[in-house]
Amino acid sequence: MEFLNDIKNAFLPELIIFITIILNILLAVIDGKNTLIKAKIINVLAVISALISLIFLQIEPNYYSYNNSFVSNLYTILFKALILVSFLLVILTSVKIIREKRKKSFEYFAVMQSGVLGALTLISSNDFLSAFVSIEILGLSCYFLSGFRKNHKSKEASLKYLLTGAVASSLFLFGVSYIYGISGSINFSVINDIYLNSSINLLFIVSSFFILIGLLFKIGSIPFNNWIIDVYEGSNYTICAYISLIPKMAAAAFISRLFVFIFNFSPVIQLILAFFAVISIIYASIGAIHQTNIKRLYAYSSIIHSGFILLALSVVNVYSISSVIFYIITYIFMNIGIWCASAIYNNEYNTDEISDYKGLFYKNPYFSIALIIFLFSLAGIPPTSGFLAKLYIFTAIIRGDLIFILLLIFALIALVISLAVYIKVIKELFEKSQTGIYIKGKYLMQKIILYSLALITIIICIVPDIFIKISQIAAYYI
Amino acid sequence: MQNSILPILIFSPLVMALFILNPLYKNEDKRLHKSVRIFSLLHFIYTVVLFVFFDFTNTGTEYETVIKIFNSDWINTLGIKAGFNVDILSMIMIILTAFIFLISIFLSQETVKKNYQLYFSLILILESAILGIFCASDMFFFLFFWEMELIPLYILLLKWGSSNKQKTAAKFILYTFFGSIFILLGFLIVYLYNFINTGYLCADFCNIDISAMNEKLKYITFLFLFIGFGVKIPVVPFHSWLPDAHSQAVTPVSIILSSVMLKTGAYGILKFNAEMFNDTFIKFLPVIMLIAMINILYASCCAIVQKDLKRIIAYSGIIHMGVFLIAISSYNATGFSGGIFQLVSHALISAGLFIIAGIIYIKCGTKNILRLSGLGEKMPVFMFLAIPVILAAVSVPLTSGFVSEFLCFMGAFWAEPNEFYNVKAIVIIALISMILSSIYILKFFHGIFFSKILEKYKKIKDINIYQKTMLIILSLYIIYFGIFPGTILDVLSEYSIITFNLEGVF
Repeated sequence: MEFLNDIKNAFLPELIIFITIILNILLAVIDGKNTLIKAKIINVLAVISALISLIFLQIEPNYYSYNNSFVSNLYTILFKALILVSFLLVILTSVKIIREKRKKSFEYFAVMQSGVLGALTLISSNDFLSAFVSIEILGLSCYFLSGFRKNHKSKEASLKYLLTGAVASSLFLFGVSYIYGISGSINFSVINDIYLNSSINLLFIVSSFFILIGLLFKIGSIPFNNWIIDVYEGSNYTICAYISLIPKMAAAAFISRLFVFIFNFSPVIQLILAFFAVISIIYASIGAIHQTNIKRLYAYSSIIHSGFILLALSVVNVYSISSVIFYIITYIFMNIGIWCASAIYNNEYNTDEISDYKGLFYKNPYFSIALIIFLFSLAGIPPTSGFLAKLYIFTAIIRGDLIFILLLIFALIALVISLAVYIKVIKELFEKSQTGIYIKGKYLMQKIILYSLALITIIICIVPDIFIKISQIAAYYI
Repeated sequence: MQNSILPILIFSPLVMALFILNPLYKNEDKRLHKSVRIFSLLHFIYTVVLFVFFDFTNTGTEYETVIKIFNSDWINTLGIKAGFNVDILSMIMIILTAFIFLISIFLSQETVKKNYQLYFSLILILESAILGIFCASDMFFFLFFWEMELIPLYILLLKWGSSNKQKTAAKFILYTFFGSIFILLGFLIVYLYNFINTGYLCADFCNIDISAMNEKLKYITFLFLFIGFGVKIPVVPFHSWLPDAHSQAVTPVSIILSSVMLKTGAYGILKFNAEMFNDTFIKFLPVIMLIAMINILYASCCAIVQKDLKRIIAYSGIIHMGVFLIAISSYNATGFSGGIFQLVSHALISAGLFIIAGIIYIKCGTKNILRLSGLGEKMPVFMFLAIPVILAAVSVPLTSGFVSEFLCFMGAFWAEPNEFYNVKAIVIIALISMILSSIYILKFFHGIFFSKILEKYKKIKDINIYQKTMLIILSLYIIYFGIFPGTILDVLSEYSIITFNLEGVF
């Protein structure tokens, strides 16, 4: 009975997602024709019901389930909700991939849903074993998805992703084995209790370093950032939106839990993380300047944003974690927004080059205005939510030590360079061109979501208080 | 009711801009033009009414120059409020902004032929942002408006610029964003300091007392803020965006850039560097004076060799802002009131000069001074109306240019001596710019209107009624402030004595 009780109190969304995966696989075998609409409806309904089921979970006190290997509280529930919302938006904005693989849409959704399942369990995992299994589930589905197109670039992306991921996972396991060796446990709470009373040795720092490296791969930051650019270039827009959000959010949630429970005993690890974060921001903003492919540009932009998230995470306190949550909330909307806009454009014109966006404004003014809002939001310029997200993160970082403030100055200068990257796209929109393409009205769903995302991006900037309060409450529960 | 006076002032252009953007208007609709004009006229009248009913006598009592009119929650959890404060300095800037925007909106008909919808909505968003800068009482709310003006200006420069517009627009936005990063850093330090010192989160810069701050931290913060605002003013190492942006932009945008945008930087320096970091400001006075001197001389030399009409005016803008800096580096009431008066006077003069250059560009299709000559023969009315503006730019007595520059240099001449160099020598060197200014402005005037008319310009007609009205109004203001500067100077000197703790040397 305890098994069922655990599901009832902490695992309803996972259960629904799991059932949907099995349903998808079964229907793929049974139903052979015209599966696109059915698949989309079934999966959207499943995600919505998973979102609703979050309401029935136990919030207080922390609910430990399955022999203390999972935990459920407001923090995990908020992150689960964010992941499900972003997944829902990804499904709704997907344009091309499903039509390409019309016959395979159930398999496609089964893979996507299993990645979400991994992300959900990673967020609430309370020991290293469950965390490792979740990371692998999430990773495997992402490797599948990046190789979904079967062309040369897609294969290259998938292989590169798989190999880098394998190295990162083994490093993670290596670190975990040391931690187990030192403390005799893999459970976070137990390790936390042990280190509250004893001093830190070098072995602990080394093992934490390896664990951190393994997770930085997932969030897409230095040192394992090579995959991200090629994977984005090789994959479809929808899958890019998926890969740029779901592993990143799950990893960010997990890293902040790890920091609160384990890593906060050694300031060295904090410094290493901050250092990696700033290097990522500088590297990505310089690297993005000469890109001509819009996907590669967005890939670099996602590295910049991971860098800011990590920089705030490295200042471990409630304030910084809440700033990360707020940042992620705003990042979901603007990130899905740009991917959606580019996906619509790509579907109409079949191009990834930035120079092909020439003259888009003259034929599609509202579409371009939405794109401009997202790009300025990514750069952090008001009146968009990106400005407030950055402002909140900076106010959190300056509460840390002096070294973080020095690193912040470098990050801010890199922010100016990153603005140069985003205005490269905006510049093209206003260029005079004869062959402007007109985006027809057939993407009604996508366009509605695009404009509402643009509106949300601005509304968050006007009434941010509610979102900041939510993120602060969630951060207290961590 | 009293609470909504300032929000209406600041956000009504924004609401109008969103209204214009609706899909019901066709892109080339003439009604749009009319409605924007009527709106800007009403908005200007609103500011005039505000100006008339504004209580200027409040300067007399101690520390009550600031009138709190609006304060609303924005980000409660971070202690950041959406508040507006208006003092005399902001009130003058507000009415100036509304006036300059009125002029540029009325001039837009000639220069902007396509995409009215986007153009006017961007101009109105820009007006909101700039008014917000002059009224915001919260540091981060100030920064919000400060960075918000980047988007409309970037697109205006990008879309309606001349030949080299993409590079210019990118240069403008990157320089300005670079500056605002430093402002952000400075604000963050002040915000954090206030939190550590008092224990509660507050970003309202009228309530923050930083007098107990560590000396070194004060220097760093002061420098950050000075660099940030210096990019906008501009101070010489960061100036290179300005001549490009001013010359490439379309005329109404050039007017806004030089007459209002530069003043936001000056406003920032007065509000934060001079008022908030008062004692650090006094220590930095020699440095600021030196920077101002370099600004003036460098820009004068640059202005002489320019061939493009708008670039000459742009460099003259840098000179005028340098004069403003040298005036506030004097740190006496004469200098400060002269400096603030210089902001107003320069706004009027540079608007007039840009109108002249814009008309020439429309009529002749070129801004190159070497390809123009003898237009006075065909446009006598235009030449006649241009004379007051030109004379004011050379600071001839009876124009506002004379009063402001005279006061600025007089204030600087009376500045406290320092141990690094002779102040009077620096001021005298800076005064060379007066001679140089007559060289480039008279070259400007002579090149356009005198000597023999070229064959291709023989069919040119005189200016139309809008342009005449604009030039007449500007000339009247320039001459009025030249003859009766006392109306505004009395208030300003009293204001600056109280706000900046000056000694009254008036």
